[in-house]
Amino acid sequence: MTRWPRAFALFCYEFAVGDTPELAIGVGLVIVATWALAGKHSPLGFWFIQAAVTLLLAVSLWRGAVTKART
Amino acid sequence: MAFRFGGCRGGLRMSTGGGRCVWSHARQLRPHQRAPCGGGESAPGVGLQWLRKAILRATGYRPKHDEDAIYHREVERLSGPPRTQSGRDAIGFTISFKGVLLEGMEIVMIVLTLGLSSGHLLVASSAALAAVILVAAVGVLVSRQLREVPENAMKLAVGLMLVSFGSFWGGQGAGVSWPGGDLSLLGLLAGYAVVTWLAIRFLGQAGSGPVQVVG
Repeated sequence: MTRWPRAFALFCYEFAVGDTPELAIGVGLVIVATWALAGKHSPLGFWFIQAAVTLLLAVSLWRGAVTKART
Repeated sequence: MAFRFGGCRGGLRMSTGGGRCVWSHARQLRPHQRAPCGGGESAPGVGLQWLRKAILRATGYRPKHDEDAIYHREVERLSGPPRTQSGRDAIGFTISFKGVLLEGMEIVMIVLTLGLSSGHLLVASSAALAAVILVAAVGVLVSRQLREVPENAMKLAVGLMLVSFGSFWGGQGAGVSWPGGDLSLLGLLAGYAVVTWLAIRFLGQAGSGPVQVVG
């Protein structure tokens, strides 16, 4: 009976994280940081979340390209 | 998905798997439930994954899929095992159920997040039901045309939409007040589309050799 929960947990991990842990961790940090910024300076949160998501994508693309270049 | 597998398996019985799954989720809705913040957090994460892979495939850093080969292989695999004596199609049912379970969970998260945060759960649920009916109808009408769209282009578009919606909801959940309200989604979509275009141009110029295709 433990096979199904384990398989489901693995599926969830693969779906949410997969081979891009930097995105999973990064998105969580971005939401927390946006929440901290938006609480005091709302316009900052508005710009921050877009810039941070763009930066996350750039970092992850760079990581993917470097990994490919090494192989 | 249910209709697609239904076509592969020579019937639409497995679409009941998807229907039961959506119904089981709908029964779990309760007005007093708190809105989860997961929708705003998971959408940009999953969207960024899709967008990243689509950009890397478009620029040759990841092999593209040979869609025809994969499609024919899957159709052959799904067509092979016989139905049970009772006529039930367990394989089609299971595949359809899993697929709709995943998509159904997204719908439930979106409906709960938007419905409870705005205090209009009934409106959000009705809109979701209308969307399900509309998408099913469109799926029946244009399934053949949709199959002609290249897989990577579709994933790029879906990734862009997920990242845009995810940023919007994530920001909203975190307390950001978007200028223009819902219309700012269009601005987000345009901005991320420009970023994607620039990334494809930059990585394309950096060069990664010929585009590989795997089946």
